[in-house]
Amino acid sequence: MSWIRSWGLGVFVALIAVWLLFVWLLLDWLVERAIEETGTEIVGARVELDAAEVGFAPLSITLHRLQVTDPDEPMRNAFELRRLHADLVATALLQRRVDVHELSADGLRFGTARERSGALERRWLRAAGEASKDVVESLVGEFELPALELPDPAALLADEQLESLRIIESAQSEISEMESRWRRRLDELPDEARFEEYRRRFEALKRSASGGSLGALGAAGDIATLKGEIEADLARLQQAADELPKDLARMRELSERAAKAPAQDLERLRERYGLSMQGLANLGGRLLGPMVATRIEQWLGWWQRVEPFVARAAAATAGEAGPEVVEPLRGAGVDVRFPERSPTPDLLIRRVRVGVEIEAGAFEGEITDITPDQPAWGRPLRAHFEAAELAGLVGVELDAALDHVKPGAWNETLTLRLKGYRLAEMALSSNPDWALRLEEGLLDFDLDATRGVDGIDAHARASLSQARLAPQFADSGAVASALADALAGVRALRLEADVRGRLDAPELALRSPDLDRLLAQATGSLVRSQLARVNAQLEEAVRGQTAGPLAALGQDRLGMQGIQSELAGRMDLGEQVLGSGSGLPVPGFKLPF
Amino acid sequence: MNSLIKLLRVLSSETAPAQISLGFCLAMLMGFTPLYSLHNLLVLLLVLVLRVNLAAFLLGFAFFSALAFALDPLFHSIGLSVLTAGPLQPAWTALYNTSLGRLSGFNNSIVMGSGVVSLIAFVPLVLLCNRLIVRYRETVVAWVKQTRIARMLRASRLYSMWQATSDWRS
Repeated sequence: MSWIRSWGLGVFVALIAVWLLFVWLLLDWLVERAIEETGTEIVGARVELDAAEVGFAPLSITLHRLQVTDPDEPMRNAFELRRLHADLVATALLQRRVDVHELSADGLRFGTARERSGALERRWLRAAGEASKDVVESLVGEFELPALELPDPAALLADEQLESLRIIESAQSEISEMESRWRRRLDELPDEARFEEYRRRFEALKRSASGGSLGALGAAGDIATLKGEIEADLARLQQAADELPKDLARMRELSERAAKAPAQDLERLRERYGLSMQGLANLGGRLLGPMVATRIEQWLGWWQRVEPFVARAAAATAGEAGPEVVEPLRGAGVDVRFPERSPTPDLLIRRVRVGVEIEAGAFEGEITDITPDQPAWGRPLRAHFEAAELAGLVGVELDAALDHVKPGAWNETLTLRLKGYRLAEMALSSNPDWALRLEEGLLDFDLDATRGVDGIDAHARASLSQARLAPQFADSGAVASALADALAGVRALRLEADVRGRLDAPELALRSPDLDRLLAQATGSLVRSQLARVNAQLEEAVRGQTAGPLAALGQDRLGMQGIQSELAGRMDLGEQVLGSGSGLPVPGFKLPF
Repeated sequence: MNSLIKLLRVLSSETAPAQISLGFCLAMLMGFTPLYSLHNLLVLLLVLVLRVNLAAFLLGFAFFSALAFALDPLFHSIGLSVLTAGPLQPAWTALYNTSLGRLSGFNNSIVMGSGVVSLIAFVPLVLLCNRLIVRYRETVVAWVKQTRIARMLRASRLYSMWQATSDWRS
């Protein structure tokens, strides 16, 4: 029996041919699907392609109309590309690498409308963007506008439990208990009657001692006993007198705290109900805060989405020369990377030429060295876009460098200079109670941002000129109206924002000195007079409620001070009685014989 | 059930035990390792060019592919140990720096683990299958052939006709 099946080779060749034909026929569709699915997973919203073409001579990929949905606005594309063409290095593909020498992206447009929603039903795909969104929502929450309607003091106090009343009552109770304790103790201590008794006994002993030497001798022992009794009583009084200051100090402490409590209550109520001029501080920043925070949220979200293209997650753990375990995939094992003689990344796009189309006109930019494995390639990703003298835009310059060449000391920088960008019909505040629309304006915008292992540090300055603002406030009160009038008159304003901290928990500080000053001037005197009136009414009401308990506390305090006087009086009396017995004979005197 | 009948028919046929064993063991190579691996082209070529039993190969492929799902964690662990073993680093590094090496995907823990297990088990499994098939034919098939029902069936015209058509099919 021959072990060779002669027709087997023909079948093998036929099978390979059928497979190649199958791939050739379906390759465009397979590439299209792969790009759509991978893009959708990364962005968290639909990524769609009209068509993909794979060319074989030379090896290339061309994508037609790539639409990337804005995850926050599913009926709008974050950006759209008319055509993308890349020439691939065929030999690199044999090594399971993608190497693109030049990629051209034409017709890049931002914020284009979509025919159908690009939202995903499968929520799990949005996980990457959600963390930052939550964080920025919390930032937005801090930018609530203050309530400008001042409350009625009587109604306000009806809803409030005054802390001062509790403090005064507690102090009164403690001082009262203290006084009772000392009264009981005074009852147990020697009093005036007792010292009068000692005095009488001294008088009697004086009389018996004046009856001659024998009488004096007999009285000496009694006198010594009496003096001992008086001294013991004085010692008890002295002990009480020594203990009393501690309680008196406590009483003073309680009294002082009780006396301060009404003022503290007033301060707390003013703070809680915004009854201070601080409520109007940074009003401009707070009015525009939600809009700025939303833009920052979008910006940080895209920054996070770019991350996988510039830094492989496992890169930080890579050894310099040893094998490196990369990207564990469920059910597919892990790929171990070994040192390469001429290290080349698995994915490398050396140069991308981007043609951008915005309303103001078209311009070009360049991105170089896109790879998720910068340590292997040794060069950071850099982007540069520049345009000047477009219709509706005096100039724009964007520079970015995402440097992950050294995974332990990575650094990303982004600078944007926008000059004379004409804005129209833009919502500056979408708060239904405090809606503010920019009808038109000319924007100058500078952004300097860096991000590294320590977190993000970004500073943005926006300067708006030739502006026309249209405020629509739900509140028709005097203060809100003054605010609206002031905003309607604004022709120029500056806004500065700082973002610092971790990307997943950034801190945002927003300032608009011009707007703050203008709004404070417009509303300041109005609010100040209202505040003064309400504060005075509130103070009167609080003082009225606490006056009675404070008076009662004063009575208790007087009682304690009376105890101190009483003790001092008794001790003085005791000393006098003891002093009156100083002329009498005491044991140890010498007999005349 | 159809597959089982096919297997029993192959085992009971006149096919050489080595053809069946080899088909089964080549199926192990292809079934255990990820399907879209370069070495599986070579396995397919061998299956088609060598006169191995195709039914045994197809049945074996289904069996070992199913078994691979359960054994993937083991393959991953073995593969990772082999790929990160110190003494083998120069060899792996050299292979990694060749186009063929990169295309083979040998640096994947499951490709390496399942490949190592399949290659180690290949020869012993061929020998074991050979022995089991011979024993099966000597005992079970011989016993079945001796039963009254089998003798009656074999003596019938129906059996002759079925055998004739069966020969045509094969």
